[in-house]
Amino acid sequence: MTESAAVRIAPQGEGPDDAQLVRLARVGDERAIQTLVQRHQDTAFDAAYRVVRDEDVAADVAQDAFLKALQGLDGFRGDASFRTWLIRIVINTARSNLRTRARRGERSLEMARDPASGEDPARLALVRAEAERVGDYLDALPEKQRLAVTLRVFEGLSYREIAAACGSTEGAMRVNYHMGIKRLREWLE
Amino acid sequence: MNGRTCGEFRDRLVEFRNGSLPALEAAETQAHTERCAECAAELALLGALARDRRSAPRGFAAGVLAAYRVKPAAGSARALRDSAPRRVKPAGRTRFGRRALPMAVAAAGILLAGVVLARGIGPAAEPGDLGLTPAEASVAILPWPGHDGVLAGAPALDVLSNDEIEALLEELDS
Repeated sequence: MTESAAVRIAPQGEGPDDAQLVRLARVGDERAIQTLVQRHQDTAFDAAYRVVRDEDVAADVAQDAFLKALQGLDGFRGDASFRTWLIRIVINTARSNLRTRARRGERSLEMARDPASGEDPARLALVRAEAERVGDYLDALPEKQRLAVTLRVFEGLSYREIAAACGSTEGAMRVNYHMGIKRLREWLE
Repeated sequence: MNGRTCGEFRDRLVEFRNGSLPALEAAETQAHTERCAECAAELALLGALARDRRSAPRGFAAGVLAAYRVKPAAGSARALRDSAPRRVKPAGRTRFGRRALPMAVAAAGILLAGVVLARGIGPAAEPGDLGLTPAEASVAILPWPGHDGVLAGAPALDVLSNDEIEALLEELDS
């Protein structure tokens, strides 16, 4: 039996690990590629959504990011996890998308960067008035805090992994996480 | 008593929630959250947040695979580098002057500014420090807005030392 024959589609945490799948995907094993995509699709989509805050755009961004990752597997040596590397590509693709849309005038760069910012009382009041769930407040956090909170809470990443995914330092992401949580608690009180 | 602070307990609430803490630490955290209203509130917030995770739309994986079949399948680092967004100039000055920071943020910012001024600028993290190979680190991250959500005017958080970060976190916790 070949190695690829042993690969089966499995949810995250079951079946072959990512390193094994990446090895197989590099040589074109479609089943391994399929497993990688299925395993990490929610992670990629949510990370994209946290930057662009539009589900349709997030789906496009996540797809682009997957294609970049799959086509660039030769550049991935596996010192970081595949998931961290993928998230890094997703975040970069999403932020690039925001900039492109801002240049086209589809949205202002100000909004693209930091829509509610959590620092403008008038905009925060608007968020409070319209918020129906905690996720609405989450969307109102500044971008880096939003990513720190979601990557930690949703994906269970360590601060070190979050830093690697965001291109920042571990300490900076730790502060951003705690600032985000503190703000959310204040807003929800 | 193990002498851990609330900050230390809060740093592990995510692992406590997802069941990845060792049994003894999980039991300590459980006991702490039962007697500490602040940490219990934060744990409840994490539970509420976790329910807001977005899932990829139906058919997403199939769409990716279909697109992958259409695009050249010969993967290479060059393909990734060529398709990755180009690094752009760092953002200029931020919009600090136009924004009023909430009191808590202002307090943290003042502390941070004091730390930076008093101790000078520390070394910036290198990609290698983050567990990435040079090829992995070559997936460029666009510059972040210059204020890190804490202190306007400079990307100050990335240049702080561990001690400075600890001092800032202590201030945030108080």
